[in-house]
Amino acid sequence: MLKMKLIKISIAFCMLVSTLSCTKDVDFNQVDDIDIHTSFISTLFYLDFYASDFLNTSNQEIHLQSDVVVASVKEGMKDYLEKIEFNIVTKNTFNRQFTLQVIFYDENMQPIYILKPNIVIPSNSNTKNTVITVPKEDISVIYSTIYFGFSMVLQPSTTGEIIKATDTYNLNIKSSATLYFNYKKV
Amino acid sequence: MKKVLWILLINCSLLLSQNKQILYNFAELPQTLLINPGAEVSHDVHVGIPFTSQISFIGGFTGFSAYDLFADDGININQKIQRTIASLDKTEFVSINQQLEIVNVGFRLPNSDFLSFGFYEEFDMLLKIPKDLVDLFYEGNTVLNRAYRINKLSGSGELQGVFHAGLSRKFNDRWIFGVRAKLYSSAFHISTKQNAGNLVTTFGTNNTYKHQLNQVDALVQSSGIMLDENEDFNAKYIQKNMLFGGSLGVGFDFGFTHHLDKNVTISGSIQDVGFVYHTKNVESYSIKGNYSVEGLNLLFDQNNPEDYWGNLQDDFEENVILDTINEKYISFKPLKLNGAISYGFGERDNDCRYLTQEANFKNHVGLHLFSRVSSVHTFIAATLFFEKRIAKNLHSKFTYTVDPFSFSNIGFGISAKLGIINAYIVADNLLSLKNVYDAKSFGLQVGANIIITNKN
Repeated sequence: MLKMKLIKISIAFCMLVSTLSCTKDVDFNQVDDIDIHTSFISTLFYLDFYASDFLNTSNQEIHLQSDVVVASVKEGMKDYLEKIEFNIVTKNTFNRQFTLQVIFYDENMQPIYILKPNIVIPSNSNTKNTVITVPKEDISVIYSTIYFGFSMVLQPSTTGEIIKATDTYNLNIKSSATLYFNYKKV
Repeated sequence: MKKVLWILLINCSLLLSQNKQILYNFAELPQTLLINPGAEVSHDVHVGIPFTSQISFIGGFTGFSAYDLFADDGININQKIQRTIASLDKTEFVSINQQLEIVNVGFRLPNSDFLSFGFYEEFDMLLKIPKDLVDLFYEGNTVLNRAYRINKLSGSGELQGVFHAGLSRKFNDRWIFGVRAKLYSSAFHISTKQNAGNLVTTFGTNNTYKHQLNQVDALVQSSGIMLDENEDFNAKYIQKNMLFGGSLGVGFDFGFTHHLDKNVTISGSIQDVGFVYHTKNVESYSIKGNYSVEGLNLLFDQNNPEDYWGNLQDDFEENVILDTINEKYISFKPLKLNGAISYGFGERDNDCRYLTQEANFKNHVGLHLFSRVSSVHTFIAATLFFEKRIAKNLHSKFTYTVDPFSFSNIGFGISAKLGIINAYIVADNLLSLKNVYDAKSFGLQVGANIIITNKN
């Protein structure tokens, strides 16, 4: 009696499962089409210079100034980074033009990449936004960078006027980077 | 490889909680004593067939199903990912519980008390995923002034061996009480909870943007994971830790069954009132502090070159304290609460049982409530059930459960006994069989026992 009931229930259960147990169409190959684009913004460097910053102790103009930031870039997320955009915002009340160049150096202090074009800051310029893009093919260079060099060139005056310590001119630079990732690989 | 990882990820999320709503008080199975030590059993001896007396997988993910993403419906998968992420609640959670009974033995003592004991392996994991972190990963931090909070980020995972011994006593024809003592031997444990703080990006004053870490306070505790150089994380290590070699703890289960009258029975239990004292390979990490940064203020002072990056790192480390802690710690087990009321009806078997004993009835209908309570996450499930004794040794049970994973969870269980051999299988979320890829939760327990009932 019990065996019969067990057999009947087993058959019913199997029928239920075979009837109900199914899958609707799925396609796991869609993984290959996953294309998640994400971007992160990162603050970078800034500076605020006045007339005295461009004069030496003898009150003579300094035409070239440079600075270096030592910071190795970690390899993490390298495979997913598609593009980097540097955003440099400048404002210049000096009646002189400046040029800022950003150079990437390797561990031997050899230049391996220069942000192009140079950032030109016209004289008496209001807020100016310069966007420099590092394409995917150049990104690996960034990861080899150990030193970030900054060169600021004070361009000659067109009128012969020179900077005096009492001048109230101001050069302001702000910067950020937007990192564009694509999580295509898993 | 990509596909395998994605499928594993999705399937892991489906092997998903700890509600054994079908097994609870079902067919007087020996395993019901592990859920309610005060459950009613009428047999005299049981011996679980080693390694097979209970194989249990339960779990769920509240977020989405494999079908949500991989349905072959002509819609671009990236659109489906976007739609799925937009539909996520403020916090979603994934829960997995797996148990394997190694030994389970029980027998009636001369004074009619029932003693049962054994050993089982258990892996339990629960992870709460705050939407803020999903958004941060998916959208980045380009939404200014949005605070990405880690407050709801919490989780725990543990693999342990559990030695247990329980005693149930029938005080009279209406009341049965039971208690089970447990000794936990934790192979490994990791948990994080009560985290606080946020990350926000705003317009800056000196620079274009300012990044801020506000009131960050997070702690991750682990034991059995960060090993000494002379130890390897392998099967032997896990086996040793699960057999008294790991961090040890104690706990208790309590339960009762009460026949209100000949038809109505109420029962309840509380499982795992206990803790583990983590002493083996303990390593915890805490991070606390506030920090804001606008970038590097370049000075172009060649006479006094600045170590910008080093100074930034020092400033960060001064303000945000990251500690590695090797202090022993206590983790409390997640409590599992069960409560049920059932109504027995239908023809009764004439097996000389006392009239008030509800097990005589061929049919039972009732309500079962379950709650898992822990510092990581608490959730509740409610189940309507109908249990039918098809024959003296053939029981079936149908359940309808509402829980955080689904409002349409239909479960079914069957237990049969041929001679002294008992076998059972219970599974829930059967409606998902229509499309297994669309399942957000699943539960399965299967096992076999030797059950002996003295005729006299």
